[in-house]
Amino acid sequence: MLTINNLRSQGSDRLGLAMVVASLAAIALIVATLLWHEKETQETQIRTQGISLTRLLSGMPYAQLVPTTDQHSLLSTIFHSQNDPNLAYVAIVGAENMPVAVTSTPGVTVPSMDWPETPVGWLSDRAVTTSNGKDVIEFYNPLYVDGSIVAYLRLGYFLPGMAISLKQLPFFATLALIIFLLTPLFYLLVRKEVRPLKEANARISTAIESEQFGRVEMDISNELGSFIDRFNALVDFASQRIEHLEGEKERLTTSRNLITYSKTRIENVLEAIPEAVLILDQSGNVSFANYRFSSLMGVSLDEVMGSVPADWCENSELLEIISNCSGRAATSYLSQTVRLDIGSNKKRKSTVKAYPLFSPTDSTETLGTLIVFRDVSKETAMQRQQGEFVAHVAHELKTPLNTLSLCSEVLLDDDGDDPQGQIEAANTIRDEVERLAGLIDNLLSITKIELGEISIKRQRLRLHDFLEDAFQVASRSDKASDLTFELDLRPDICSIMADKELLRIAINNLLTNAVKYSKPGGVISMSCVETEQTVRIAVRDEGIGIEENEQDKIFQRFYRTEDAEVRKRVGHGLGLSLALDIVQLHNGTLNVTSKPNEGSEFVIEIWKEVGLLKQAI
Amino acid sequence: MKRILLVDDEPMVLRVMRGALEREGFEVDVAVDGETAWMKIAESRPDVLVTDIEMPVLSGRELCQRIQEELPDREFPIFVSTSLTALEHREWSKDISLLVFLEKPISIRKLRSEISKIFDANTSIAAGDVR
Repeated sequence: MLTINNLRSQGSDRLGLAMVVASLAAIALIVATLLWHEKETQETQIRTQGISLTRLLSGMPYAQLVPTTDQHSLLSTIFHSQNDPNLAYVAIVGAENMPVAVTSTPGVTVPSMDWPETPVGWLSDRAVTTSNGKDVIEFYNPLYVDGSIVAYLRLGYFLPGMAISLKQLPFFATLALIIFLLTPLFYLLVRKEVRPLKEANARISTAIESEQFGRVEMDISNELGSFIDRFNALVDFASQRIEHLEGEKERLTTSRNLITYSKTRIENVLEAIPEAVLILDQSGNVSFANYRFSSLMGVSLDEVMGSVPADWCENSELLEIISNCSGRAATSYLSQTVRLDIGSNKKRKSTVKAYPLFSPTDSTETLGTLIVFRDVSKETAMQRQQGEFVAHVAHELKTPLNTLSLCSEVLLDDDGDDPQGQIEAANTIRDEVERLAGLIDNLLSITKIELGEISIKRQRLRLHDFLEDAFQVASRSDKASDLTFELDLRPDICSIMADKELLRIAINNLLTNAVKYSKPGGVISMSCVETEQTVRIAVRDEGIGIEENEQDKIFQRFYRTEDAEVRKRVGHGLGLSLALDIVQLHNGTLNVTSKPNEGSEFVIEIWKEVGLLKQAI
Repeated sequence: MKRILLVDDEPMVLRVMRGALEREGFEVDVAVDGETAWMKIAESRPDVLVTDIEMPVLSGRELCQRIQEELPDREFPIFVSTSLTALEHREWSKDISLLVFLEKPISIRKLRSEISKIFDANTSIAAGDVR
């Protein structure tokens, strides 16, 4: 891998090499220029000389130019007297290339020449090549005798080349030496100028490498210095900008974290509330739905998010409500109750309420709609149950009132001739008042248990005494006169921790029922069996019994079987319900086994000690 | 002597009303549910039917509807005792003729005067029989 220093030394080497190459090129260029200039000068000289000599010779009489047998040719004389190394030949050539007089440098033959078709009266020149391949510039002029062209005078000069002559060598050597001496000097000067630039470059490179953006501190006063100053100003500006942006970034990060936190918190709140929540944006797409909504509608959150309700909701009534809620309609408060079909045909009742989400800055603009679904199935069922309960209570209260009203009329209308009727009416009134009192007691107890107003007051209860007492009371009642009572109770039976008053109500209700539903001459028995951790108190009768399909219903509030035998007996359907409530308050169980016409057995099983119950749990 | 059929699942009510009405000079028969009452009506039609609504086996309402369907030409009036006073609870009775609601608690005097009203209006029945 190349380092900055390697690059730097390589750069320096390249500069030196480039300067050497440049100096060589400069030398070559200068030499070539000089040689070209020399050649041009020679050519100009040859032309001047050629033209003037041709003109001179052409002006001489033809006879003087043509040699005779007794004298040398004038041309030969001129040729040799010129002593010009460039002069190739001097010739007079007649028609059809017939040489009339020719003098030439050895080895050079005069090239042939066609006379111009239209002879010209003045001097001209042309470039030809001799037989030995040398380039020659030829000057020619027609020679006249008596006004007619008899021949052409032709002078050939060798064209000068670009070769360096020996006499030029010292000049060129001196020139090259000077240039070579100037090159290192120039190199050193350039290096001196470039050094701060390279240093600045190195520092910037180091800053980039070390990822520390900062000013480049250099004490330079020239152009580079002002560049560095401007560069530093740019760095300062960039640093300030970066600092500002870093601050902005930090602020934005904090804001984002706050928004994320707020969003999460709001979403957590929306998830925690018992209502199903759906939020639609301005265009009617779902922007949020909580888990309860998903569970209420039976669709997954993935399916719901970002979609329009029509994609996953088949309930047209609900779709219409959502459509009415969306957009401008949502600015008016809307609440409707719809029955939703959820999943496997379960009918659930929900109220749907829509609230517009106003923009925090502009209260006339809505950003979406919040739709809250409240499952009121339980509430509705509870209201219905309460209504039924009140109706039952009213009915149960009116029935003895009805009898009381009738009896009072009987007594009022009686004029003393029917003492038996009076006694019967008075007895009926007493029975009905007892019944009303029992009903009201049971109602109060049940209401208190349901409202959680009864706090169970456990105390150590001696079961033997407690049960014996309760049993005695039951056996002494008026209706028990023709029944047989059997109590199976060991004297050393344990004590238990229980609420004496409540448990008495439960036991009493069971015994009262046993008496009420017994047949004449029947046997009522009560026993108490101790197990390791519990006691089992059983109340048996040999009465009318309960059909199997009725056995789980008899503990329901106000339930009374339609059996005529049962209906003959006064009752309000609360005794067993209350007994069960009380036993359950003690974390115990109350069960029944029964056969129609054979009798029933109700068994209470409760823990001996509260601690044992806790251990069991 | 007019024969009254009393139908109620409350034995105490039956006992008291029976005594009171017998003292008034009526012949009284009783039934503890609608089905028993229907059987007695089928055997022999009473002059007056007094029935409760909420009863086991066959309710007072069902008994009335069956009577209306099976015995469209009956002449005896029906008195229905109810504690449900709202009109919506009486809607079912509009197609049943000669039906009078008695609100609980029932008054023997009121029942007697209602019976008299009907028998006085209907001269085919000897008004003197009803006190």
